[in-house]
Amino acid sequence: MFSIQDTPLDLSALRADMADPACGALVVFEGLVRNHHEGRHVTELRYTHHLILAQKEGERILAETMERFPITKAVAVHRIGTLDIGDCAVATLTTSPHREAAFDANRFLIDSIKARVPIWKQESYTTGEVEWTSPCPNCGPIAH
Amino acid sequence: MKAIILTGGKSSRMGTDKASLKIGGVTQLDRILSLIRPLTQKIYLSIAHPSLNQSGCDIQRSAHDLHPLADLEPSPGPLGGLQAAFNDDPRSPWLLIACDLPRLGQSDLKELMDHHDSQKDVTCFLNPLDNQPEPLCAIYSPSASAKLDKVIAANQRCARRFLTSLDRIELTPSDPQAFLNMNRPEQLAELEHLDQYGAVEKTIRVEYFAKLSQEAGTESEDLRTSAATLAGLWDEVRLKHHFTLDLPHVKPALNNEFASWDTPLANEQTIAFMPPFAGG
Repeated sequence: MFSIQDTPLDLSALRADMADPACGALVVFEGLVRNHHEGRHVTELRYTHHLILAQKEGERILAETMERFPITKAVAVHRIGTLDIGDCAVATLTTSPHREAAFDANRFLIDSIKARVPIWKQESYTTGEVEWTSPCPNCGPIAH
Repeated sequence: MKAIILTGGKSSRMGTDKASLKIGGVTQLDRILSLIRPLTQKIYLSIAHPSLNQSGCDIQRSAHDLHPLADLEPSPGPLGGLQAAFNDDPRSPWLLIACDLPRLGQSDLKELMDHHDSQKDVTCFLNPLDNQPEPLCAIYSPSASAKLDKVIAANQRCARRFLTSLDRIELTPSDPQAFLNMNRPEQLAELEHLDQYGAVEKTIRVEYFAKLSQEAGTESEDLRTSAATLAGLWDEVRLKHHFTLDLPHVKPALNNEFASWDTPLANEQTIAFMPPFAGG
């Protein structure tokens, strides 16, 4: 399941949905809103997206994740709208019988979402400036 | 009047020299020559300073009735061609023209010649896509020569800035795409498509996201365009809205699906232009 929502993520509900007695591993990644970006203090973030294409590409990434790794289930949720520092912007969850596959699949999933899903981030700074940010160079490969 | 053709040399982004690039089976140099020849027989070819490896040699040989004019110094930029021209004949007006103007028409050049007035420093066109004067398809009067020397002595290399410092006549070309050129392979695909099928007007809904919608001042607009491919449409809106990003950093989508830049446009499609993604 890939979904995009404008309300806070309910991590415990997401985790509960992953429950599977045959799985010995659940990996949960949460992407949180940081209070700094390239040396500047961030006060809040606003995410926007391409409604149709973001959903399509997210579903394609999930299908690829299931194909490439021996995992049982994968889920990803991205939040849009205005978020505060510390809020969860994205969560990726993977389960598998053994931990290695769940770890590897989760890494692939979040990296692919960041690189390929048309979602954008506008940061507000303590200086009052507001800017559309470029992908952070520490956040892995850039799609284009 | 005399004409000097700039052949540019090897384009790093195109990976080849533009003068010998073919569209519809005709090289750019042959095409520009066919436009100029009915108007003047005094045609010169701008070539690199003798100290440089001359990539223009082959072109020069194949177009044997052209007089080569070498730059007076290494790598002076396009203004170096005009400098060499006035150095050769300071009393003649000179048509300075780039070889890569595949949509420029014979009638446009004739209009330029007809409107040329020696009392003005330069006669030029405004590019309809961005309303800026085009320095590399213009007739420079001898009065521009002394001003050019000053600018080059001050080590200023920007041809457009030089042009806008001159006393000029500005014309509008008949075709809004007259000054499309090809700095990227995607633009060549656009030009090949236009050459093959002609310019066809269509209505396109264009959507902009994030930084692009901020710069455009809108999230979407309906455009009448003659662009043939997504790359051609991008060039048009990039100039219109003065976007700070260029094609390598933008992803296009056609009717809500990712598409390649050379995809042909059809009437009433929806095209999205998207800046680099920044989710997570």
